[in-house]
Amino acid sequence: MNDLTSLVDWSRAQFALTAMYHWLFVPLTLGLSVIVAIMESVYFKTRDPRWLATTKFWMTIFGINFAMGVATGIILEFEFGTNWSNYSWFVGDIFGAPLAIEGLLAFFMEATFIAVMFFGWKKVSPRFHLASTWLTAIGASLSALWILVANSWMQYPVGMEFNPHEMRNMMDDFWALVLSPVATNKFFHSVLSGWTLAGVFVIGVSAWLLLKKRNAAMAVRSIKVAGWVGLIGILGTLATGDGSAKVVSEVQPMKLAAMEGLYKGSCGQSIVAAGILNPDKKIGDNQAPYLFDISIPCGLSILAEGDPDAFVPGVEDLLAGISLTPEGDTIHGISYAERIERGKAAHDALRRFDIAKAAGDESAMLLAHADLKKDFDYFGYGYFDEAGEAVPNIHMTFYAFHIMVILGGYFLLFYIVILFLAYKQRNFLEGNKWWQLVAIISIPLVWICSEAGWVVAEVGRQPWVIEGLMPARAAISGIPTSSVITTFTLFAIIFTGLLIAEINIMLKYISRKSKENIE
Amino acid sequence: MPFSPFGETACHIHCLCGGPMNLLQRIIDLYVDGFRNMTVGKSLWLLIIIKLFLIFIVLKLFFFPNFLNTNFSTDEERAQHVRSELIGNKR
Repeated sequence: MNDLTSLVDWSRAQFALTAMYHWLFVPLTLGLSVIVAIMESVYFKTRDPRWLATTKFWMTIFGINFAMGVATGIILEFEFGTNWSNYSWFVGDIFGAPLAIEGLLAFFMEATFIAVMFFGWKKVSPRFHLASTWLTAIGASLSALWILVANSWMQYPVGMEFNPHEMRNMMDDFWALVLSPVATNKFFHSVLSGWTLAGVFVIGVSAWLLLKKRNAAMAVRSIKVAGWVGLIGILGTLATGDGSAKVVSEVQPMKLAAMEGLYKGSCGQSIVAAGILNPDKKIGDNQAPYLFDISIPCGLSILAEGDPDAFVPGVEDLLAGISLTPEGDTIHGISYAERIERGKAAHDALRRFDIAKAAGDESAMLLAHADLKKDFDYFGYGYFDEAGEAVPNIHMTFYAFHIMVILGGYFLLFYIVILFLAYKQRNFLEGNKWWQLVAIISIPLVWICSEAGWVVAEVGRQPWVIEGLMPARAAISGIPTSSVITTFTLFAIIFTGLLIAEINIMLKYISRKSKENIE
Repeated sequence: MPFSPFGETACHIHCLCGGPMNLLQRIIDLYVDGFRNMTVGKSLWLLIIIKLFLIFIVLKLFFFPNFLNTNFSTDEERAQHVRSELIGNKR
């Protein structure tokens, strides 16, 4: 068991490292492409060469970031085939179809128009060029759509049926996948968070230009565009975050409980705005869950259900399958112990199906298949011996969620203040070094916020790779742990080196270009 | 008047219009001239090529073989392996 745990942990660590590395570049691509397209649109309308210079400055930075991120996501696909082969087989065409669409349609669209965007200034008409810039931005978002649809299916598996002959799931409703509430919320939440991130990045770099007293007019122009894009981005991110919370409360209530460090739920459940978890707290004991907390009354009930009196279950309620009516009456649902029993029954049905198939016994196969269908929703629980094994890491999920929310609130304030300064207090904007330093420091903070969001999404759904159907321990390949450690180390070394080289190129470009007069 | 993909009334002298061969030549020119005139892009392309080499040649070929494709030759065998992994009580 220790070897298996080690293999699972290393495989998870490797996937997390690769995904988080990939996500360093994606949100900036998503947001900066829109900012550049807006800048070029202003140039197209005004034909003002200062807007052309501004557009080209940020477009080059967009290009550097795009090049930095190229193919980093491919490693994730390699890992599916090598480390997660049971999962890759089990998901069948469901995961493959959105990824194939992403590769064929969105990526090629993005790659085609990005060439026109960079090489076509003197080769195509201004209108064609502008259209290419917008199509690059749209292509980037479409790429994200298909990846997020695939990820959402893992969080909320719909639109498929399990085929016991082939041991894989078959897609039977493509639109159920694409339009699932998890997918739609996740798409807008992720893309708009990219706008937020890119806005902070542009404002931070512009603040550095102001601090160095270089190209002040261009910096202020950039701040205005980035400020509006970022403000729309953060408002949309907050709105879709609210939508996501409601969906999570419905389809992944254990994740919501972990996000809030909620062990015992109640009607009119408060939400912890900030707090420190009690590190000694265990499921089922009587210790307080927090050492310190600032809570908003009824906040979690409103966030999760839109009703201040609604019951929100905690980890212990979910394990016991208990919820309450607003009047306080207990409702008994399906406990995790029962889910484990039904999961084991599903495994047994699949075994019987296998034996019947080998014996050519059609009627026994039909019977076993019917039994499997009855309990298939709990298939993944059959791998557990104790209910507590189905609880995610509460501490990591709680802190990642609160870091994301606190920083999200900060960025809303940041954008409002920045836009006010840009339009009403320009002298202060250009002359005060303290706000400029705050804007520069905000650059790493927005990346922390963005990565924390993914930690919530992915750690909070553990132990599942496919919610309810497949835990991580069942998804991995039977390969030596040492080979995963080797590839983990290789990836960490190689890509840290590449990241340093690439960031160096970006910083050198910004520094060199800022010394020219590009106003 | 030559075809313009975005409805220009007067086509730019260098725009990507004209017959199929002409269009192909202009697309090639777009890339050739683009790469030739790059400044920042040259070091970036070097890094991209190094990165792609490491990803597709070193990592993919030597460290990330497809487990099921490498160890089993038919889908039937792969399905059977996954079946025994998932319900063989090994996990």
